[in-house]
Amino acid sequence: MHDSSIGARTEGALGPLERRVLEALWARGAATIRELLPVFEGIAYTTLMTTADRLFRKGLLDREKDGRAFRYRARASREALLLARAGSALASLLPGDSQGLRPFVSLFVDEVSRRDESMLDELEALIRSKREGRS
Amino acid sequence: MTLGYLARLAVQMLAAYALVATMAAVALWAWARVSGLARATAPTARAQALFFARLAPAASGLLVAGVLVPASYLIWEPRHDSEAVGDAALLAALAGTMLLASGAWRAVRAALDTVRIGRRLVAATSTPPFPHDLPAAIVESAFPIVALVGLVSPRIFVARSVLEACTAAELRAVVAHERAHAVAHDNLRRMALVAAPDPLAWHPLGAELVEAWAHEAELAADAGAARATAAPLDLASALVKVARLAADRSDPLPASALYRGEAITERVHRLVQTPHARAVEASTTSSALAFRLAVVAAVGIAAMPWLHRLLETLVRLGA
Repeated sequence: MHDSSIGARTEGALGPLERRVLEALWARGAATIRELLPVFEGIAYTTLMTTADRLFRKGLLDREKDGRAFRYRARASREALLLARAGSALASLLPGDSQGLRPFVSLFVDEVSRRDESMLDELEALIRSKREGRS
Repeated sequence: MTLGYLARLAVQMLAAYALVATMAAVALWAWARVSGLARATAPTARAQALFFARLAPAASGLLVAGVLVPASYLIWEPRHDSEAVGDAALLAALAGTMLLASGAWRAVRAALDTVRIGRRLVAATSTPPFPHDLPAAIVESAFPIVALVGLVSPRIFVARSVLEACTAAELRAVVAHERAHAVAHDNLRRMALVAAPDPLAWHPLGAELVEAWAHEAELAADAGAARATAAPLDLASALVKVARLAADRSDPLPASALYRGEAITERVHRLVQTPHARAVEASTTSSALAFRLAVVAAVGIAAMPWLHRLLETLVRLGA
């Protein structure tokens, strides 16, 4: 399911822990903080709870009562977030209302954040070495 | 043939659709839990398997409701029977109607959005033709958009920033990648997946299957482009350049939420391991497909009397 407004509802870049929580919820579907805790070795329960709460306030997670705790779920799939974000980028470039790029668009590459520069450097070096090996 | 006779047929078809689509969705969910969307074959075959798996509930519902139910009804149902329809059948028919209507609504809404985006991109397209005689259009955009937009005759749009960053060989690889999506009808497939009128549209597994399909479709398009250009390293290099352009764009939106570093890494690693001249991927032969269709048809025909009796029981419930 795609939610084109989710990109617009969220503000600020995500921290590494917030991203990990999203990744964990995308992998599991829904979970309480206690259920997520084993995946986050060395992270305190309260830290994880605060992070999930912050994601909830940013509009990226849904939550429902599960006994005395909350059960969290990502509001949109990773792909829906990507499409919403790409739609926002296009909408900012083009005049008119802000309809997101919805399902029927194939995008060449997913986005990466600034902190992935080193990964891109490594990949570039790998391609260069392969070229040199083949020439 | 009376109106009541046809109305009962319509109720039976819609009820059968809801029941079969729901049962198939539950079976798919159980299969996904057991197999964990196993990855054992090439990307094209995996994309194909995920595509058909996601559509299986709706397809089996349509097959039963659209072919087997009318056929069994016309053969065995007395023409002048004034049998009343019970609440259970009416409720199931209502569920079937809602499933189909919601799927149609999702398809129409998304198709209209696609047309709107396509028009905007055309309006933002530069007049000079795309260099190197490639079938693409230049979009005046600093954001490194490279996209295939449209359903029936999709067009490739490439941002000027990408055009300026990539070499001619890399641009050929980029366009070949998008053409591979076009040849595979990936945008039409995406529409079918999004519109699939079954209960999984409201279950996380539905989105999970679409996301898994989208990932495999990207890998398959990479493989297709590598085959078409015999230059997988140019595509790998273009991927890194476009990713770097996207990373260089600073904005307050949660770009890191879209982090797919692992996807780019996987794609580049696959491409650098691809030989320059690659063999064509094996695909399902038409005889194998014909055999499967024959099996489905035989099972369907054999099940018709049983299906008719089941629906008769359902129609009488609560009458």
